[in-house]
Amino acid sequence: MTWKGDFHSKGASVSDIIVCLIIIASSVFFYVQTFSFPSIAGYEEMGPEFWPRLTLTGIVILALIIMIGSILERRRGTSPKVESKEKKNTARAVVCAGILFFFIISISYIGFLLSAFLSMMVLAYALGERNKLLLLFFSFVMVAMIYLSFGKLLFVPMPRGIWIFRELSYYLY
Amino acid sequence: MEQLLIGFWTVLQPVNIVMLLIGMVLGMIIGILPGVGGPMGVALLIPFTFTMEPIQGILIMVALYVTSTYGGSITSILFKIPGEAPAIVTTFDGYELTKKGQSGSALGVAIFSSCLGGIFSVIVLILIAPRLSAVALKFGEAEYFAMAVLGLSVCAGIGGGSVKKNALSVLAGLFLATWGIDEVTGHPRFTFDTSGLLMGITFIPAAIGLFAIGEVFERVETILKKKGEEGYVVQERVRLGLPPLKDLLRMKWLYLRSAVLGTFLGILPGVGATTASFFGYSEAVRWSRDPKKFGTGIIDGVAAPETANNAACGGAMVPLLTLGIPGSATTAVMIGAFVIHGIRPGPMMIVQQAKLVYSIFAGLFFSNLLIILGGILGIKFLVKVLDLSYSKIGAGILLFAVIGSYSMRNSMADVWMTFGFGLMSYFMRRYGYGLAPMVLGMILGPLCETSLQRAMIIADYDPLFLITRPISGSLLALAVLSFLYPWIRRLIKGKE
Repeated sequence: MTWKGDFHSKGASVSDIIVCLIIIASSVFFYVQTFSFPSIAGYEEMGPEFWPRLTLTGIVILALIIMIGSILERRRGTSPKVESKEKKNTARAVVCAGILFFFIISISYIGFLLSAFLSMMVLAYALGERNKLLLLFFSFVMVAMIYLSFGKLLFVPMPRGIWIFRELSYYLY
Repeated sequence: MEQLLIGFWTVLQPVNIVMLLIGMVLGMIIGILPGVGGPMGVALLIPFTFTMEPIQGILIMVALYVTSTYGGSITSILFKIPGEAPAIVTTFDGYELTKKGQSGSALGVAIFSSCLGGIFSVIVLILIAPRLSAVALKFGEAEYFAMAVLGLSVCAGIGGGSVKKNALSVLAGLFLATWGIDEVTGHPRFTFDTSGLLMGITFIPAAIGLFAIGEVFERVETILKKKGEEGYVVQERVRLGLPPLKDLLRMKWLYLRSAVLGTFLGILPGVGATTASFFGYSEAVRWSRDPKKFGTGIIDGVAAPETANNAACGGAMVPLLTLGIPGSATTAVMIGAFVIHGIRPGPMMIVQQAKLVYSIFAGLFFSNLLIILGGILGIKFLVKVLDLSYSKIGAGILLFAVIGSYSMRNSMADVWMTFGFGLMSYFMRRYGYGLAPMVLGMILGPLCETSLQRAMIIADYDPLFLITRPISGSLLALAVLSFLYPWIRRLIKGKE
């Protein structure tokens, strides 16, 4: 999944149009949500819906301006089509986001310390570290630092997980 | 003067110096750790001060407050993780300087600026504290609104890129700041029946997601470059140092402006060091001959927010010691500590407890000097991390991002928020939407909205109220001028 060129600069106007359409659609969604806000006595003229509506209207107007500008650029054929020399590995970012996602999910089940230890090893491996001993040592040191600074020094109640992981966690913190 | 000398003499007693040093070490740790702020640090410290003499207990808290405000800048500069909310603005140029291999200069400027801003505010505190409090009390809702608008008027120009896209980012930040319970009416907005969103989008998790996680995603995506290739990220040994004297002298007005602004904003109740750092930065952009360079890695972009946020620390002590009103979240927690030690802050404090008040002034002065020592020690430890490969640094940043956002409110909802903002940041970078303008919109959003709503209620919804009051009218006129300035300049240049 390695690809060449910066997505933004390669087809800037097309991507700008798509992004603006997403922004407009989201803004309309949130604008509709504001109609569910009740009218509060004493705040009829400037209630809880006033500021969100004002900012959302501004967002839609700006998104339309950017979109129209991109459409005109495209028609004129002046949209930037600069071939970037920079190679990007999107897969690595996706894998990284995926590991982070599973790390956050696992915290609630196996507790913070164990999930952090496992995720550290997997993350460092995914980012290119291949020395297994170093992976173990690094993950252990990082988790120990977090445990001492946040758990012991600042009394942050770190999640314990469920079932046996919860019971085991009481031996540690 | 005699009282001041007694204050300095008291603080110079060995036991009090030890208290300041302990406060400095704790402040540095709290400042460096993401998600743990000054208010939490002071709150945790209160029980330990029960058995101490009031002056010792208060000195340790003062040192913690001052050094933690500075400490956040180290991780902002080295890893783009703001250790403290006031250090968020420092990431804009600080981390860019690290990418250029100039982290030593950035760190040196941060120490120097924090120390300078802090000492300036202490001098102001000693000389004109009561008079400044009186001016601050003239700031009503209309003035707060006008001040926020003035700050927002330069947002779109920060960080380079498209002004339209940056303006959209500002508005998105203002909109995101409306999530949660409306401060004025008490109605929940955009919570989708989720209790985690009732308090709105918490600032630190959002900033960690936008800056730290987004940065890791972007860095790991780029195939590692060899030295000499375009796009190679410099990882050189950090040599702490100050830029040449001529550069520091060039920034003399920037320092003065940021220190004055930071001190004054610190005095205003509810406007803390975070807002002050932003205003320091935005004014530096406004007055710069080359505003487009901000956000690309220039020392001015580190000096301005760092001067302003530490100046705000001293400023926040002005209303606390003269009126008994907290100027910031940390000083609000400090009031509790004062009361526990049997001291009631207020107008009579300077008369009845003169020795204590002047000892606090002296303690603030020495705490700002301790920033130099704390900074050097903290940096010595943290720069060693830079010797590691990015596979470990990136993994470590993600781990600290998760625990940092969790520790704010011990809430997994905040961790998910950080993750969501991390993903959003990735796409925003890719399509050219500024991150800094969005964060600044989020900082100023609540101030802007609530002060406008309250001002309108006071004025029975007459908008003229905002422009007919001298201070708010002048600030709004400045905001309009500032917004139109690029077009006016273009018009004048065209005529020439």
